[in-house]
Amino acid sequence: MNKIIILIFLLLGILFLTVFKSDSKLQVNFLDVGQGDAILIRTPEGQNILIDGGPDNKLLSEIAKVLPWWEREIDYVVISHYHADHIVGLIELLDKYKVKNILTTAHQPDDFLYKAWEDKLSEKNIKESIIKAGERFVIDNNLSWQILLADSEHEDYNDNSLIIRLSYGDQDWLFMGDLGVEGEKEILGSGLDIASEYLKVGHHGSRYSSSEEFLEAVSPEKCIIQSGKDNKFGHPHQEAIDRLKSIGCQIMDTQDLGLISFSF
Amino acid sequence: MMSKSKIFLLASLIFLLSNFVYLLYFEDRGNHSFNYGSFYKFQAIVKGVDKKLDGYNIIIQPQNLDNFSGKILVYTDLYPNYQYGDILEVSAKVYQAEKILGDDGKYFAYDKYLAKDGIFGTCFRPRIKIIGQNKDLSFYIFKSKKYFWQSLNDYLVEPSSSLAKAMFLAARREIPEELRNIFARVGLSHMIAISGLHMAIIVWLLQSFLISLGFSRKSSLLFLIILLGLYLYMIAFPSSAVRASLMVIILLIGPFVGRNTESIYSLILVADIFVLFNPYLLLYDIGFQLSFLAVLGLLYYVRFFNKFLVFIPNKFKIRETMSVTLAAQVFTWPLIVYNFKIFSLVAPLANFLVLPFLPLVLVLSIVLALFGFWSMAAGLVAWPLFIILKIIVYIADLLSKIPYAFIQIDNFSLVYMLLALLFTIIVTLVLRPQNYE
Repeated sequence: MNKIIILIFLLLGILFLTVFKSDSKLQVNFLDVGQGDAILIRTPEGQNILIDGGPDNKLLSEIAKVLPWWEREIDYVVISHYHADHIVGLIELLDKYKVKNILTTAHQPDDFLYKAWEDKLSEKNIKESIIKAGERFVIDNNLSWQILLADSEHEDYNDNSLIIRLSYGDQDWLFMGDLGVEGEKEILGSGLDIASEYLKVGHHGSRYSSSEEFLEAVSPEKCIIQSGKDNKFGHPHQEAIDRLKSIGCQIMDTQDLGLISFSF
Repeated sequence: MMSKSKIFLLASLIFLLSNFVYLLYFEDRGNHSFNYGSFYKFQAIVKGVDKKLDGYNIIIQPQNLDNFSGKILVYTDLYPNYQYGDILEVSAKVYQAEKILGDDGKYFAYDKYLAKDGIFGTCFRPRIKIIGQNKDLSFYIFKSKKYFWQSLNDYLVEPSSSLAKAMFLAARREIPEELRNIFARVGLSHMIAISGLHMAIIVWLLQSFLISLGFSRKSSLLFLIILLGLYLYMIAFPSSAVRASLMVIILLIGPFVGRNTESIYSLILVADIFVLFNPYLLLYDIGFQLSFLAVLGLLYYVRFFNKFLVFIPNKFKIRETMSVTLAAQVFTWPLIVYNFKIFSLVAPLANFLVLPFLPLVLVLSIVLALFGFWSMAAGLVAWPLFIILKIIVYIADLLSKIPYAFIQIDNFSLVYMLLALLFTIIVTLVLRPQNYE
């Protein structure tokens, strides 16, 4: 009996220690959610930022793999746009995790999926915050992120994608949602700083995104594509891959690599 | 003159064998004048809802679909949700399930697999309108199931959430494939189904609970049977759970009817009852087959292994657990290799390490499922349950990565499987392992 008690205390001790073993680094995780986007950023202070939630509830096990075991809070959920492959996973995420802020564009589509999302928000008593292009969120003097684009009036949901650039020290990250070439032009015209070492490639590597001019302006070193095996759209398209290769960035795709993680 | 028990065994054998042959050569799928593949608009009632990671399998009972009898399996997206008793207006093409040719060149009799549950048609992502709600007794049973599900869902994160739901509510399809594969590789798949062991623990819990409330043995048995019946109905009668419940009930009723119910006879009696009610089970329900073969192994081989493994100390019941694990696998391994192409070498170790957690996991899952409405209590129960399940996954994952933890066997044909089973039976008849003391 005594041995069992000692064993239990030993176990609790180990668990307790892992809670305080924080590795004060920035982590950026491209989750393996199949054909869709879901990116979890964990700041050195332990804040969690989730960009999109993938096409189904696989998000729930994938996010648990990268979060510490005791974590039950997500500080920011950022919705790039309201297509199923970006938001379905988020709906049940709200059942399991306490989500503090939800950031989104002013686009409020009239479809049943958005209705399901709104119903869940009111059930959980959470309000979305609508953000605009140019807004900047400063976490500390080393870490900040800025909204580059947040249109809401386009017919095609993809063109309403919320575009974020995250800066940590001298490293920059650009998250392109499913934005197409027209939107890229708009960003280029805005005069905002877009040069980034890391690029989340727009629209799962579609040929209608990632134009040459835009890629040259960003000039990324690593290009990350989130796509699913044998997806019905044939993402990523060869034309887009060729353009990415021609600017000399290293291409990484979740359908080949599974979870892609970076930490600094 | 043959003894009564011999006659019973012989009659059962003939009955089961003839059923087996009948199923193999029986090809009539009914609904002859129904035009499969055509578009229909019909009303139907939701009879079953099985959630997956990326959608639902819904079983509906059509109300006004001419020339069609039986139920239909409908594949839908995650949203909107449907629940038991919903009256739907469905617009869709109704297909007939066909045999599926797998990557390994084996045919999977999907049509008969569905026929086992009375399903004779399928629809893929149809247009659905909810037009009403049918509130019978079942509606309230499934409403409580939904409540239990919600409690286990909301207070636990993955991987614990889907495991607890699978182990208490038989909601297996919410477990990611990756995790299911890990459990298969280390021989722990039975843990994420409602196995006989689960039922034994649940019966033991219910019994202790009822007796502690002051019920007599006889009336507690009555309540036990009612509660078990409700539970089995709620989880849609998985074969292994029903098998275990029936055997336990026969065992418990035995003394009341003044009959000695020896396990091997009750096992075969239960098999007869099953096949009488649903002939398809014999051939098209792997759970049924594995469950019976595992118990057969337990009946014949536990004592043998206990004797054989005498060099292992029985501290913490190591030897006993090992014997039970090995005995359960004597007859099941050919089926497992044939169906899942995996022979797990690490299974005895994995079971020894993980099974002792099962009673605690079930107790905590049941308490959490019941107390979901009281967030403080639920939160208190959820943490230890989460940690234990997480540890189980950790152990399984670790063991599955050991070199030669399992062997992948891809070309194990039906003939090999039958030969392996026959060989094991002959060995058993010669060895008479049940006589070891």
